[in-house]
Amino acid sequence: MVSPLSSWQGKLPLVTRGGIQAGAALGPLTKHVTQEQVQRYAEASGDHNPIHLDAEFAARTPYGRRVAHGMLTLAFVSELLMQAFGRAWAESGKLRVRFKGAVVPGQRVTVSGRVRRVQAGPEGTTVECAVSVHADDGSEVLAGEAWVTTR
Amino acid sequence: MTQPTSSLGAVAVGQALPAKRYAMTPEAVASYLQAVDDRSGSCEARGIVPPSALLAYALRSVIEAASLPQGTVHGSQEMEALAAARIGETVTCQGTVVHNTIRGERRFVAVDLTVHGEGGRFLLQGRATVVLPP
Repeated sequence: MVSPLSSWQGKLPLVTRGGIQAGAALGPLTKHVTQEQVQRYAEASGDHNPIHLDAEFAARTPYGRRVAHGMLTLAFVSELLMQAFGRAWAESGKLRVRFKGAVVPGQRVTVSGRVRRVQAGPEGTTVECAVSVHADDGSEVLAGEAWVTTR
Repeated sequence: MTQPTSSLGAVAVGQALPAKRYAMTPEAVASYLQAVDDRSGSCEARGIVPPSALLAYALRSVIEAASLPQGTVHGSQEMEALAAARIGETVTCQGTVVHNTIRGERRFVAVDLTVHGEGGRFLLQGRATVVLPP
């Protein structure tokens, strides 16, 4: 079973606490990815690619074993940003990520971000963040940028 | 679910895949949130669908419209949320192939994704780049 770090739960979104500044940290959020979760994600998303589900098939791929969906890892990033920016993330969030490596079921991953820039404009304040996901072996499995506009 | 009739790698650049409609029922959203282990309650409390769920359904529309060879991997992903979908809303998802090239032994296909809500509200757009095995 996956266990998120509870440090963010119950806290107000970053934006309602005010004072967003470049350099502010987002997270971290930690997830323990299991094969059971990968199976659940396949059911929820309709993505039954055997590279995620079939051990025999996955053994013949360059990964050599089953790997989690990239979109599952992306969902962790979106959760972090939703917790940080609240509804603004769902209404104005932009995300651009590269899947740099595979998450193997059984691994713990850490999702984190940092505010790069805060810029006021006519439509609100745009916050630019760097986001990343690291596996417990230290490898960066996802890297990207996010933007959100708060009004 | 309707089985796809063509392979994504065979879809020409510029071709729009058939649009698919999905009901973002409370059960569907709860199932998604459980699958991604999101226990924050951030979205349910606001009555909205997580943008990552809309993106996942947009990709689902592609998978249901065009088959992906076994072993296809996701290379990169972009998304832009334009409005929040309400839990209970029916959304329409569609993909359009915008790049389809071979580099080395692999085929790279980029698909632009759109999600519209009821009344034509534009909810989300994005681009998925997938790498098809040789």
